[in-house]
Amino acid sequence: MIAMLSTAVLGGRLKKSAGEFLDAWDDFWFAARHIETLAVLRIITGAMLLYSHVVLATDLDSFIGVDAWINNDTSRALHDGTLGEPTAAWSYLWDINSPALIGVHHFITILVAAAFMVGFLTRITGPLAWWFQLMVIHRLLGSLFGLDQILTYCVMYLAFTPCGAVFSVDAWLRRRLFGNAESISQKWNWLLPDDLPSVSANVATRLLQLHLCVIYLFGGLAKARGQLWWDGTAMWFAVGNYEYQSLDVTFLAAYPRFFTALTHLTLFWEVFYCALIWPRWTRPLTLATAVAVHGGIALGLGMATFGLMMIAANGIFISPLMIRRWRGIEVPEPVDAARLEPAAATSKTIPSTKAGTAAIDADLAKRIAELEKGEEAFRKRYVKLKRREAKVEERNERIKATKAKIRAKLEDGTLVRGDKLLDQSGIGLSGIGLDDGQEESSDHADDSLSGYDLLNPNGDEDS
Amino acid sequence: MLSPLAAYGQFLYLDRGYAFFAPDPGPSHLMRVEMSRPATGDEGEQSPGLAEPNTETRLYPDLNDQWPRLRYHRHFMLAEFLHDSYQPKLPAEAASLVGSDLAIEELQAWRLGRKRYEMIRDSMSNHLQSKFGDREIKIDRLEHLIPDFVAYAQSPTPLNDPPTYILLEDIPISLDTLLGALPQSLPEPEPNPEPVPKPRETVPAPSGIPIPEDRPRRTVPDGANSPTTNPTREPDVSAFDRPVSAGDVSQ
Repeated sequence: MIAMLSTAVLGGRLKKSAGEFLDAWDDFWFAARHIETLAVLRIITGAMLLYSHVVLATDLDSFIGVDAWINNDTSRALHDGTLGEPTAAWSYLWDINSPALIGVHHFITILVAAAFMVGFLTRITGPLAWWFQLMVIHRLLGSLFGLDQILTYCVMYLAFTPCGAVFSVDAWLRRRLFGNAESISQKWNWLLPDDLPSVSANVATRLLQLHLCVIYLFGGLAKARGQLWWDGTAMWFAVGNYEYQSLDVTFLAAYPRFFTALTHLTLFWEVFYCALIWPRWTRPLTLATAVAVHGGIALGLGMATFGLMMIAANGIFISPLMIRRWRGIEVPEPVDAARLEPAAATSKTIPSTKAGTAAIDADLAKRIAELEKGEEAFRKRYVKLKRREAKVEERNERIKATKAKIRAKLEDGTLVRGDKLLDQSGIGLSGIGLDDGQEESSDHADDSLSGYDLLNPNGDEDS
Repeated sequence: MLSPLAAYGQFLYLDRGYAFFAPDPGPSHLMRVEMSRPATGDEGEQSPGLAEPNTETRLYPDLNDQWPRLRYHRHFMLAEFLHDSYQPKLPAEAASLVGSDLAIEELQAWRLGRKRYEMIRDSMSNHLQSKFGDREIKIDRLEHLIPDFVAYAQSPTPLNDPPTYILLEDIPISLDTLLGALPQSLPEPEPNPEPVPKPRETVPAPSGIPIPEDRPRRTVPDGANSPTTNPTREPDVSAFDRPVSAGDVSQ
C-alpha cells in the first residue's frame, strides 16, 4: 500500500517536473522576442561582409578564377574527391573561368552585402548575402580563417529573421508607404516587417547563443590538449609571433607571472563560457572577458576583423529590451527584464496582430493562474501562521502563570529542587526570569514569508 | 549516426573545428618565392630585391605588399595552407615495400597526399607566373621560430631576426619514416579517431625552445624586398626538416 502511494507520489512529481521542463523549453525556444539585438548584429555583420568582399575585390583575380593562388581546377579537386574525401562544400565559382563574369558576380555580392547592412529588402538580401558568402568561402579554400567562420554563422542565423524591422531602410519604407496603417497585406508585412516581437527572432538568437557556447567549449578543450596553455607560456608564444603581431607587447617577456595568469584565465574562461554566460550574475563578467580577449586579439594579433566580429557575436546575449530603452521606447517594467528570456516582458507589449493578441491572452491566463496559485498558497500559510500564533500565545500565558507560581513559592521559601512547577516551566532555577522567548523565535523562524515569491509560488529556477 | 547530416554541415560551413591557437600557439609558416628569368643582358630591369642576377625573391605574407591587414592575413593563411598540405616525396623503392611492411592503402594515401601538395604548389606557381610574367618559379616553405621568453627577456632580439627563419626543404621521406609513420593529412586507411581539425589561424605546435647556437644559420642578403628577411638556401638545412607535415589539411 505504502509502496503504491510512494509510486503515485513519485509519478505525480515526475509529471509535474516534466511539465515544468516542457514549459521552460517552450519559453526558451519559442517565446516571442524583440528584434533590436539582431538588427544591431545585422548592421555589424553586413558591414563586415561588405568590407571582406571589398578587400577581396582589390585582388580578386588572386583568389577567384583560373589564375588564382588556388586556381579553379585545384579548388574543385580539393572538394570533389580527386585529392581526398569528397565534400559537399560546393561552389559554382570554380566553374567560372571568365574574369568579367567573376567581376560581375562579385559586384552583385558587394551590392547584396551593402543592402543587407543598411536593411534594404532584408528578407531577400539576407538569404542572398548568406548564399553568396557560402559560394565565396567554398571557393576561397586555403585563405580562410576565423573571421570567415563567425561571419558565415552570423549571416546564416540572421538570414531568416525579420532583422530589417528596425534600424533599416525597410523600416523607413514601411513608415513611408503605410504609416500607421494596421491593415497591410501579408506579403508586404513579410517584406517590410513591423517592429514586433517574433518567434523566429528568438530561435535565431538561441541558436547563435548555443553556437557560441559550442565554439568556446571546443576551442577551450582543444587548448587544454596542448602543453603551453597549462604551463602558462601560450600567451607569450602568441604575442611573440611576428607574423600575427600588430602591437608589440613583447615587453611581457619580463613579466612571466602576468602572462601566465592571462593564459590560465583565457583557458578557464573559454572552457567555462558555456556555463558562465547563462546565470545573470556571471554573464556581465563573462561578456567583459570576451571583450577583453577578443579586443586583445583585434589590437595585438592583427585580426581586428575577427576580434570585432566575435565581440559583436557575443552581443547576442544583450537583451533587446535594453536597446529599446535606449531607443526611448517605453518598456513596461518586467518582473524579469534582465533575464535571458524576455518573454514575460515582450509579451506585455501590445501588438496589433491577431497572433500577437492570442499570445498575450495565453500569457495573461497563465500569469493569472500563477497569481491565484500564489494567493492560495499565501492564504494557507496565513492560516497556519495564525494557528501557530494562537499556540504561542497560549504557551506564553502558561509560562507566565508558572513563573508567577514559582515566584510566589520563592517568596514563601517553599520552592525546592525538583519541584513539579520547575518541570512544567521547562527551565532550571538558573533560567528563572531570563529571556524565555529565544526558543520560540527559533521555532518560528521558518514561518517567515521572506523569500516567498508570490509570482513564482513554485520556486522555479531562473533559467 | 550523423553521417547523413555531414553533407549539410559541409555545405553550410558548419563542419569546422574550433581550435584557435590550439592545441598550442607555435611558429608561423611563410612562403619564399624565387622568381628567375632567362638572362637577357638587361641588368637594369632587375628588382631591388634580387638575391642573385635575374632572380627576385619575395616573401608571403608581406605587410609591405599586402594591404589592408585582411588581405595580408589571407596571404598568410595561404602560406600556412601550403605548409599544412605538405607531403614529402616517396622514396623510389617505396612500391617494392608493399606487402607486410607497407599496406597498399598507406602507399596510396602517401601518393595522394603528395599529389595534393604538388597540385596546390603548382597552382600557386601558376598564379605567380601569371602575375609576374613568364618566369621560373620556385616556392619554398619557411618556418619562423618564436624565441623563448627567458632568452628574450635577457637579451631582446628582433622577432624577425634572420636566424629565426628556417628553410623547410622538399626532400623525399626516408624509408624508416615511411614505415614508421602514416601521413597525417589524408584519410587514413583504417578507421581511427578523427584528429581535431585545425582552423586557419592555428599554427602548429612550437618547439618552445630557443634556437640552438650551433644550428646552421642562413645568411640574408641586404636589400631584400621583404620587411622581414629573405633567407637564402643552404645545403645542410634539410637535416632540420620535418619528415611529415604536422598540419591537418582540412580547414
